[in-house]
Amino acid sequence: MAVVTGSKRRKLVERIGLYTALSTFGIIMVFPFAVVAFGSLKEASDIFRFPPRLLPYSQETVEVDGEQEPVFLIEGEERVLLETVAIGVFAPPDDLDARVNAQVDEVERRGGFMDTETVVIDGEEEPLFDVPVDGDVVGMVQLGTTTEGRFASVEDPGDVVGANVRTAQQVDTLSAQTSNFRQVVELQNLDRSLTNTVLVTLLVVGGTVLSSILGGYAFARIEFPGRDAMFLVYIGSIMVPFVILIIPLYQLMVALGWVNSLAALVFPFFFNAYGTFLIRQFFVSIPKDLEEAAVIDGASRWTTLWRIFVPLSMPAIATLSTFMFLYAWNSFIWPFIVISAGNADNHVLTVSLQQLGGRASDTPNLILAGVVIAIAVPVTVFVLAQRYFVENVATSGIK
Amino acid sequence: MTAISLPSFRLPRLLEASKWLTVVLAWRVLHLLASGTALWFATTSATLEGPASIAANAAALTLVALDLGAIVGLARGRPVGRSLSLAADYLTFLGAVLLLLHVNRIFVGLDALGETFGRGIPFGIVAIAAWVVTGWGEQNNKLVTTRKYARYVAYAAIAAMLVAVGILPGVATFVARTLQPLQLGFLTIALASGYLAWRTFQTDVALEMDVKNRTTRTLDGLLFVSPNALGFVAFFAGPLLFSLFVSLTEWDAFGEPVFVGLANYAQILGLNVAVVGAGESASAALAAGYQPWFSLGNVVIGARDPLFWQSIRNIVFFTAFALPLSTIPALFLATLLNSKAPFIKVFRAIYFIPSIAGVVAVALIWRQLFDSTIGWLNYIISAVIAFLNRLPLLPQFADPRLQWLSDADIALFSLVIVFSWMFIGYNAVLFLAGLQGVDNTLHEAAMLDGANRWQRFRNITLPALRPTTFFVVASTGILTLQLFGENVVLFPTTTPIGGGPQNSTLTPVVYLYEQGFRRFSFGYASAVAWVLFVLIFAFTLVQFRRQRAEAEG
Repeated sequence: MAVVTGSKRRKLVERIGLYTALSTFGIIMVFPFAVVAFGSLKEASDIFRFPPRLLPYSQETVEVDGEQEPVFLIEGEERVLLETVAIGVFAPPDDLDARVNAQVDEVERRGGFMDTETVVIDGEEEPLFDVPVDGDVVGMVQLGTTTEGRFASVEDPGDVVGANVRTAQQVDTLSAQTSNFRQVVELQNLDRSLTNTVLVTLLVVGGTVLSSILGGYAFARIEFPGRDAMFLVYIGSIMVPFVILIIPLYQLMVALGWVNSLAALVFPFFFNAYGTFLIRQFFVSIPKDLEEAAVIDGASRWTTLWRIFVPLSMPAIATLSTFMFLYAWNSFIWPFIVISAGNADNHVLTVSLQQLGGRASDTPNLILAGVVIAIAVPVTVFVLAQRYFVENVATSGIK
Repeated sequence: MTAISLPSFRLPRLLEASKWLTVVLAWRVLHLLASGTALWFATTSATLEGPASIAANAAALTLVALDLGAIVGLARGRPVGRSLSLAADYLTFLGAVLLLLHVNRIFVGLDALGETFGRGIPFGIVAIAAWVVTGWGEQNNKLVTTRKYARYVAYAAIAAMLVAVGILPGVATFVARTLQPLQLGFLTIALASGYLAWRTFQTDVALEMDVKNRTTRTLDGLLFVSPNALGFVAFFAGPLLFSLFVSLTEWDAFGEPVFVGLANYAQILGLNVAVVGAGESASAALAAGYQPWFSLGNVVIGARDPLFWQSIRNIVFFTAFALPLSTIPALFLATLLNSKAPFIKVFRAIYFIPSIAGVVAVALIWRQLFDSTIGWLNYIISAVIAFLNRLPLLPQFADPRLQWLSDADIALFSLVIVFSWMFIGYNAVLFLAGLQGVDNTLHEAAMLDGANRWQRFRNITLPALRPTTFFVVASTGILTLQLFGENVVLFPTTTPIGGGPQNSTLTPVVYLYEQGFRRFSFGYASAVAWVLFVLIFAFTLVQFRRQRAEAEG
């Protein structure tokens, strides 16, 4: 019995260790997304606040003389900001550490503006000021300036105190600025980018699947001279990095008149060696008996392909579709080169987001709202079709 | 789900096979004359230039060659004549259709569709939903009427979607444009060669010519491969060869390419090593035309293009950090995920999400976290340091307040963080697939022999994972060496764009973009691309060799 409980306890400890490690990594992966999700609901003033807060807040306001004024909490009392005043930091020349704050407009230069009395401190001539301290007037030198807010109590408007505006505590409540999404859509034409992206993605997925099914069938089932050499060339082409095609493909787009047009994002990507390879591998694994029965019944290759191979290969087609979906939705370098210069109506999300990031750096909340719009669709599709995403990764590793 | 059904229709078979073959031979002679004229036009025309001229020449030359072969073959009654004739007519058909679509501005018309497409999306969603319903209870033959109505709904939704996106005005415009002389010409050519190809393809013609099964199979195979293969030639193989040619020229956007041999490569790769004497400046010690790139003691290495070499140094440094950081933790995560504990798939999904969010979104997320004053990263570092400083017996640490994106010493490392965060989960799923293929009996045998966890991992798991490891390292390395998107999003205002503070994040692709699309030196940029390609290829080859050597030794 003792052995059993020992192994049980060990298992429990192992489980706790496992979940701790998994959760730690999980937090590292999720936290940035949480910052985005909540950040997209913040006000600009809230997102620039230090220290950063995860949840979106907005400052509470009260109505003063028909205007909404933000509320601050100063020494336990709710107050509104009346005005900011310039404050000088003064100290007597013989004791520079005995600093006194005084409003600049309550202080006068000793001897007037033209013939100010001066004292010499550290070899520099400094003007003397008459500073009122506790009813007395003391001659002091100015060390620096700051600003101070005059805050009136909400309950008793006559009760005014001074406090530093920057460090004044705001009275905040949780509130989500959903208008950020509308604003960013208007600012960067994101609705049009979104429909363009959906259109491009659908066409690329459809075109690739179609051409891959036809090509994959030929490579898998029709023996003809040169087929294997051709297939090797195809596999080899998967190894060639896209960057090498950028310049010549751009020239081709210039020749076709497709620069700044969605056509440049769609048609060159219909023909995909990886997709052909993936479908071919699946077709090869389909038993020959199935099609032989159909061929005996007089079915043509075309009919066999669509009636037998395609319905049986739905998992492979779904896998290829998810792969091409991500590829088309997230591709950046090619759209950036071929359409970012021209008409903003033809932009896709990645290009719009990149431009938004460049021009809206003073409103990061809007940028984050744009990010949420851009990743919402792929994340939804991922949640719905997780199996195929993971399968796609797994099969690409096994090859 | 319902099977995909395709409409079937039959064209009339004109003439009997032997007479048809005579018609084909006559047509071939006409076709040869036409394609010969096209070839002459393509070679002498001044309006065609660059890729358009190359494509026109290649197409016309192919047709002329096919026609000549077909005429000889058909005249001598050989099956190869029919095959070549089929190929010529099929290509003419495709070419005419594509040209018709091109001059009717169908491809560019996609932009207009982008404007109206949004209206169709709701109908599209209804269609998809209805299509899903048509699959309900199909196995046990229930819900027959529901499925029937769902099919009607799906068809209606698709029709509504097409109307909503403006198919009717679209078709009207297409028809109106087609009724112009040039377009009608293309249409006639397309219809004629389409019918010719179809009729010649029929079995009675094949029987007449005594065509072997093998030839029929070859034609079938080529027909099925043709969309893919032609696209491959047009958008991959052709551009690849063209790029090689461009890299040997000096070419800006406006002039003609001037052949310069290997001069671009010499400029890119030119290095010069010199020893700096006392009181001598580094650039004075180097040969003329070289600028200092790198110095070690009093030895200085100069480059003719120091920016390129700077990009190489950056990318090597980046890969040296990003590759281990995005693969080794991934392997560790995969061993954790390879367990039957509950909720494990939730964690797998969470780790995977960064890789599906896309480069631009991920970089923008991190730009917010990297902010030096209000960013979370510095806030967390400050909090940790404040916590450590409160502990006794530890030296006091200073809060670094790192300038993640504006400090030239750190900027590249910030990119390492972004990249690794994005790909750890993806690589973990790859490793997981490999781990699930490892034979469990070996583990059990080793456990009985008293091997501890680490020994089992080291001696059983790692060797079994070798192919997966190769794939992960090679594919991640190919990605790191082509780093571009992260740079452009994180450093949109530097020159070159994406170059970062003092060019500290200038990568080869960033440099390629700068040369090709800011300075429009296409020849030079192509040469940079080929050098990068060789680098990537060498990297993959080294990984492959290492995997081989380990597998054998």
